Amino acid sequence: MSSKIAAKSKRSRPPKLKAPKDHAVAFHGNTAEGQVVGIGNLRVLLTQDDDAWFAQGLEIDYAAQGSSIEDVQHRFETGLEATIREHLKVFGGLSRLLKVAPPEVWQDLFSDVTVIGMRHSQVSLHPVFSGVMYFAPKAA
Amino acid sequence: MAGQGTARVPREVVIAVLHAHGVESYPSEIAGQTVFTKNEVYEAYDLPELVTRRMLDVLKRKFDVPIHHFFNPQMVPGASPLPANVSVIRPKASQAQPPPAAKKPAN
Repeated sequence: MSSKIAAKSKRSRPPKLKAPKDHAVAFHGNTAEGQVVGIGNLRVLLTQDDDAWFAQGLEIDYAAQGSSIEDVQHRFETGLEATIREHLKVFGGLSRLLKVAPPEVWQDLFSDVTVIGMRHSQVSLHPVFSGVMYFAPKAA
Repeated sequence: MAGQGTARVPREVVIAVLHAHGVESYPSEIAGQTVFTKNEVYEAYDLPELVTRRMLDVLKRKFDVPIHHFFNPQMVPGASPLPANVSVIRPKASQAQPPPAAKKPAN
C-alpha cells in the first residue's frame, strides 16, 4: 500500500524544466580589475545586403554591417562590446540592452533563404565607472 | 519609393539625418566605434562608408527616423543635413548587372 502511494507521488511530480544547452546566456560580474561581461551562444543571422554583409543578433537586438563575413563579424563583436561599455557607464547594467529583436526582424530574416546562422560568444572586461563623486566639507 | 531597395546612403548623410532627428553622437572609448544616443537608447556602430538598406532599417527602428529621410535628406523638416558634394548613390540599370567574368590569359 505504502509503495503504491510512493509510486503515485513520484508520478505526480512536475517535470524538471531544463534550459537547452545551446541557450543564449549573459552574465555581468565585478572583479578587482573591473566589470566582466560575458555573452554566450547568441544567435546571429548573417545575410548579404546589396554588396555588403549584415549581421543581426536575435537574443540581443544589435546589428552591424560590413564588407565581408569576417568584417561584419568583427564589427558586430567590437560594436557590441562598445555598446555594452556605454550601457555600463550610463545605466550601470545591461537590462536595457538584453532585449530580443522584434518579431518582424525574426520573420524578415528567417524568410530570407540566403541567411546564414552563427553562434556568437564573447567576454569583455570593462573599467569600473565611478559615476558621480560627492565631496563633503570635513568637520571642523 | 523606387530604388530604395538597393540604394546605399553615404555615412555622412546618414549621420547628418540622425543628427537632424535629435540623435547625438560621440566617439566611443573603443577605437573606431561611434556611440549614437537618443531617448535612452545607446548604440555603438562603426558605420561603413556606404550604409545599406538593412542597416538603415535598424537605425530607423532604434532612433525613430523615417526611412525615406535617409534617401531624401532634403525632406527632413527644418534642416539641411546633406553635406556639400555628397549625394545618395543609387545603382544605374547598367551597374545592377553583375560584372563580366575576367578573361583567362591566353597561353
